Amino acid sequence: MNQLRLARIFLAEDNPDDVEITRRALKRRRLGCELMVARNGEEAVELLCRPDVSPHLALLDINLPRLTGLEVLERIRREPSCLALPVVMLSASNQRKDVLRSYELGANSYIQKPVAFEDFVDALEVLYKYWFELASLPRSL
Amino acid sequence: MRVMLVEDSPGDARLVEELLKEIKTPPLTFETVSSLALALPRLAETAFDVLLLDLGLPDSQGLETLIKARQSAPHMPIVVLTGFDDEERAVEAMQLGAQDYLVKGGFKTSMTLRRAIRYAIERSQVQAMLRETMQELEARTEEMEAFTNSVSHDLKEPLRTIEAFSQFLLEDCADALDDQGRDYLGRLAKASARLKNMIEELLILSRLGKRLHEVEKVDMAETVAEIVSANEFTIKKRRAVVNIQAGLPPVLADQSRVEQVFGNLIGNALKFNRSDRPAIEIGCDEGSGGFATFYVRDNGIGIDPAYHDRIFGIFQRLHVPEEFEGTGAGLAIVKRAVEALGGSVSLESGLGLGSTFYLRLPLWKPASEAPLAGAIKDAA
Amino acid sequence: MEILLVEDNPADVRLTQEAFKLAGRVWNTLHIEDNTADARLMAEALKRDDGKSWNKLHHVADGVEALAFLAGEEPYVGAPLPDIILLDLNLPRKDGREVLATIKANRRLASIPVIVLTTSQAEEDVLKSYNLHANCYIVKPFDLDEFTAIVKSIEDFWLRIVKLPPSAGAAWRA
Repeated sequence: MNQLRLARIFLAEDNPDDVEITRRALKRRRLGCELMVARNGEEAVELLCRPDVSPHLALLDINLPRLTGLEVLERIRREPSCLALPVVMLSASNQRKDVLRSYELGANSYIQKPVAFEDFVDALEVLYKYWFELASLPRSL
Repeated sequence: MRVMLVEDSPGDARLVEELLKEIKTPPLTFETVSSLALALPRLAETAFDVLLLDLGLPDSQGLETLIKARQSAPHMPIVVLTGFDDEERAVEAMQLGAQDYLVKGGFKTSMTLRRAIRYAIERSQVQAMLRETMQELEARTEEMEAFTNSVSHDLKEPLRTIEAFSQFLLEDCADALDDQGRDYLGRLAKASARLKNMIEELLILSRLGKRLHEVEKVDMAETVAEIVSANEFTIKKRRAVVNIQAGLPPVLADQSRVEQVFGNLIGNALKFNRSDRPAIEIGCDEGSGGFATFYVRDNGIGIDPAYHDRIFGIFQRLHVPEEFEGTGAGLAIVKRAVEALGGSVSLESGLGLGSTFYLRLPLWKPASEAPLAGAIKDAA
Repeated sequence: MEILLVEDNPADVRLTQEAFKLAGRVWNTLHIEDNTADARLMAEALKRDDGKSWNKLHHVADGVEALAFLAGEEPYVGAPLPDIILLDLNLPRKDGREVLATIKANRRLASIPVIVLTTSQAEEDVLKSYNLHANCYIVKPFDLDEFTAIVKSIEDFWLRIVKLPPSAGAAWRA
């Protein structure tokens, strides 16, 4: 698949360490993208619904201040501009209720953040290749 | 004290009533009904202190009577009245929840009756206390486990940071560091890896004590075969020989716990083994009392008898990390899981003599025996 | 399944971990596809090298059958709820888009990941599918090898990396 533009990935994550880890993981496997970050749930909702932001994919942590990742998901799915946005929950939680609720609210997938960095790099690579090289996106690159 | 007598034979009833009338202390009143159908609604209306129950009633036979009575009045002390040649059944009645039994015609004095009544009431109170204590214990344990679970989960977050950033340091600053610096970083990395394993095992342990989910028939032959085949890679690599005894009986257990236990033991058997040809044997000896004793035997390095008790403790390791990696929680997990299933684990081993772990687990019995088993459980 | 792997060589650990993440349980996949050749291709592609499969593959050939399967109606009484659904858009009897809408409107079925796997590359089909809450849209390649590769990638992402919604019908590998 031709990449006409750089993949734009939106990350909602309050922990600055995890943001840095995500950046490095993407860099490690040369997964080219523009990473936009929101540090809390409210900021995430605000940014995601802006027409000038429009990412190709959103990664949402569940444990966010102000609004949780699930609340963010619920709200953006009500916005026509974000209805089709592929959202992958990226959370430390493996609680059944979080997983189920995510899918119920319209998340496209759910990934549990692995503890080991190497595993995280691996997961991000598979995720990137799947969504940006294999799948067709509603907002194409 | 209020006594209810359920007795259909008027003659037998009168005999008991006479004796009841003789009892002055404690002062008591009694009511006589002639069938279970009449007794149950009365029991529902008024609080009685004890039930004297004839097992041979017209509308219900024997132990069924008792089960029905227990169902409607679960905490009521019951003294069962049986015929002369019926002592066997009376003993069974005790197992099903009666507090005591009296053989009709076998007691002539009111003293015996009074003692039986008093004993029944007291025994019932003790049982109630026990139940309460168990419930509290269960609640506390659940709390502890939820706490451990939650903390372990929270610990993962900073751990992720430590692990990732030590690696970043190594990658970015390797040149700026001298050998010692790199060595120190390496130790950091190893320690955080160990920490990660410990946390994961804490998480497993914290989930083990929880009330068993589906306790069901677990096909041991299949389960053990699955676990062995899951370890295929390691088995082939070490050129190990694994022998599973044919005809392993099914157990009444929680599938995932069984997998946990055997997975651990088989993994250990493969790991703590320096022989050229590691050999592992999994089998089952005859059991008794509804239990069977499974065993996992290996020709590995063995365990000094001095440590046999200690090794089941959490994070107890007998070896330095250079010898054998591991957090030492494996056997704690095994012990906890087996005990949660109502069984026990024991060990036979000596240094250089291999090890045999014995696991006593409840056998699964086919459905025909289930109702009684269920009733016995309720009686507790 | 929780199994403690006791292994000191990290490379071997990784290998076994990979094998393990897929092993141990049967994933029920429902493939809704009217083209018999494509259906067979899918079955072949899902097989492991040793001929076994991580997936219990169920297949129906049109939209009406698909909904019957998911409802457990005749002749699908007792059919397990799939962990994942692969859906072709162009189906006889009931269009794939309708099937998608029905699934995602049904409380019991809505959380099951639906991957649209279809020949259409049309942007409006893609957008419409995502708007109907498809979890993903993948264009079916005509090339055999490419198809197999894509199926393997789907498996890798959805069964290894992703956490699927807890399934009431989770069956352990028999």
